[in-house]
Amino acid sequence: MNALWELVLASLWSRRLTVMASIVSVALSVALLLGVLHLRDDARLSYSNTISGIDLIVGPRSGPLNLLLFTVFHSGSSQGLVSLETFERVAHHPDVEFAIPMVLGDTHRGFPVLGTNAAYFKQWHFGGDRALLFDQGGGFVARNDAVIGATVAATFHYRLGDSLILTHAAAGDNQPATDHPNEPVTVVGILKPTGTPVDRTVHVPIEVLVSAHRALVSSGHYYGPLKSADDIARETEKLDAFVVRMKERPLAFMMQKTLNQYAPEPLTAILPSAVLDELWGLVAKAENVLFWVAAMVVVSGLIGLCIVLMSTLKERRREMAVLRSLGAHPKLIFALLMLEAFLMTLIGSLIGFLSLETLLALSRDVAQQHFGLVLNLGLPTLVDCAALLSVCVLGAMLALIPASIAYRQSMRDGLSVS
Amino acid sequence: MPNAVLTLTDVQYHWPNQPSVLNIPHWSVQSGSRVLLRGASGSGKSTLLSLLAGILLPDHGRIVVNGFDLTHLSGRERDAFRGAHIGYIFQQFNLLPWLSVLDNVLLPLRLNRERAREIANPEKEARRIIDAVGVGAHASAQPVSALKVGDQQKIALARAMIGKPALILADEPTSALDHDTRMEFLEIVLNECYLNGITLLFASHDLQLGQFFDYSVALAEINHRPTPPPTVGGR
Repeated sequence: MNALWELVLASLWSRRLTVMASIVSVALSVALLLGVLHLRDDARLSYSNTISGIDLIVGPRSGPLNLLLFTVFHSGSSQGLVSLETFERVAHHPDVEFAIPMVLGDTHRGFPVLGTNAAYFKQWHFGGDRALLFDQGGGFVARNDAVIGATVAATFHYRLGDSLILTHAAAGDNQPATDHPNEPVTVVGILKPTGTPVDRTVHVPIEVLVSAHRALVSSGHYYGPLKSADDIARETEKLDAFVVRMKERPLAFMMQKTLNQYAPEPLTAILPSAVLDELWGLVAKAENVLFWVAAMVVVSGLIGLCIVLMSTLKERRREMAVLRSLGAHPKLIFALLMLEAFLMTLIGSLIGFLSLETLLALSRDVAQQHFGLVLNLGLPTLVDCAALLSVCVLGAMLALIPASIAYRQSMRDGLSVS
Repeated sequence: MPNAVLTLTDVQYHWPNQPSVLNIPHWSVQSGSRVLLRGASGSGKSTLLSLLAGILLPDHGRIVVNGFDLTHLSGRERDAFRGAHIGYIFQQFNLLPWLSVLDNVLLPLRLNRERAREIANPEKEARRIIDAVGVGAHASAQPVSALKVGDQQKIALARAMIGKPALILADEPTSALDHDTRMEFLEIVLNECYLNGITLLFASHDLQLGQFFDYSVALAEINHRPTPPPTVGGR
């Protein structure tokens, strides 16, 4: 057995350039495959981790996906507003534990601003059952306080006591955004990183937005769609959405049904976990395509490896005859080629795995900061192991082709190679 | 013949879809003798050597080499037999290009435990033999490609000799060599086989070599091939 290993290693070493090239191509394809798998897992985790502890999200009549994207991911735009009366009514319902208002649309230097109340910081959960934690400072105390997410703080190097100017949402592409210079807010709290959109959010009390908008209207700097001052004033009394936690979870279905048929105004109430699943379903389709592309790249990498081996078979017939003259059974020649292919696949897979882990480690911060993705690192996961194992099994199966050709060749040739 | 290292009885062989190439009623070779097997190329010398090495099985008859009846052994057993008892030298390209000179010589010992049984220090023995065949032990660490063709054949001889097999089969080992190198190689192979008591069966089409051997035998003398039927013209 030792002799076999020595032969395999010496033979591979003698063709190290082509062997190296094959190993690199396998490594690249494996890294791609594992990368796609990682991304899929981490994206899925990031999605399902964004929100928890909330039973219902309630907003104006719109698509459930739209409402979720707007309220949780702060992307898209408001489809309307919800009156304060409705919010109050729901908030004081005996089955409701709490309701938290949300006003969205303003920004601060590109980051979304969320108007809410102090209860938000206690009740908003993420990542299963993790509460928001303060890195520095605490929640709102005064009207002009602000609590910023970890990414916002890191991007602009904000510290407690810094004063921020909020920008009114631009109503259209042609309209300039308008600052709220009269209502600066002061950073009183900085949240710890969560890996969710919370990191990218500036939280302020609802009151400050209301008064900022009023000031905007009265100053005549409002560039929005032509509306009467009264309309605008009324809008400032409204919410974009609110989130609800029921006293008991099953009660959410009843409340959802009621709110979706609410007579005084058209509402949409969604169960965030269900809509998150739906959203993931959409993303997963693209991820699946990506996975199959990566899998095909792996297959072609392995086929390339076999072609390299097969192309050497002709010139190696002489070697096989020599080995046979020394008492080697054709099975040894079979084993020689199998082992060569397997070793290349194995080394390629391991290099692919290690280089991906290195790459992920390097890009971890970037991914979290820019995409809100939490990349999980460390030992190979079960999925990694399964993928690596599949690659090696597939490699061994493909290696059967050159190995059995060599076997038959050496059986037929014996000692005479013509 | 009690001292015979190889005995063929009633051996017949034909390649698939071809007429019989060998038909040897009886032939044996004394242990320790150095025999030239003469014959034109294509006369069946290589086929006979393959039969003696246990690569091929005869259609019919018995082949006993060094006490082993090859016709009663399985393929794996014949491979093991060859590894343990036979040294084989090809016309050229004997060596694995990706092993050093030393590793090439050591290869039979690594592949066959039985061959290595009586050797206490394989590397030392390999260096001794490399020196004995006239290449010089300093060449041991070199890659095979650094050697001249004549030296490559000498290393092939060293590899065939290591572990003292009963029989060395050489298939036209000097055909690729020029005259001087051929004579040098011939002298070494004959001397070393004599010194180590190894039987040598040396196949060649070169009739002039006969004088250097204990005796020479023409394949045509032992091979009673049926005369091919006269070809009838017109078809």
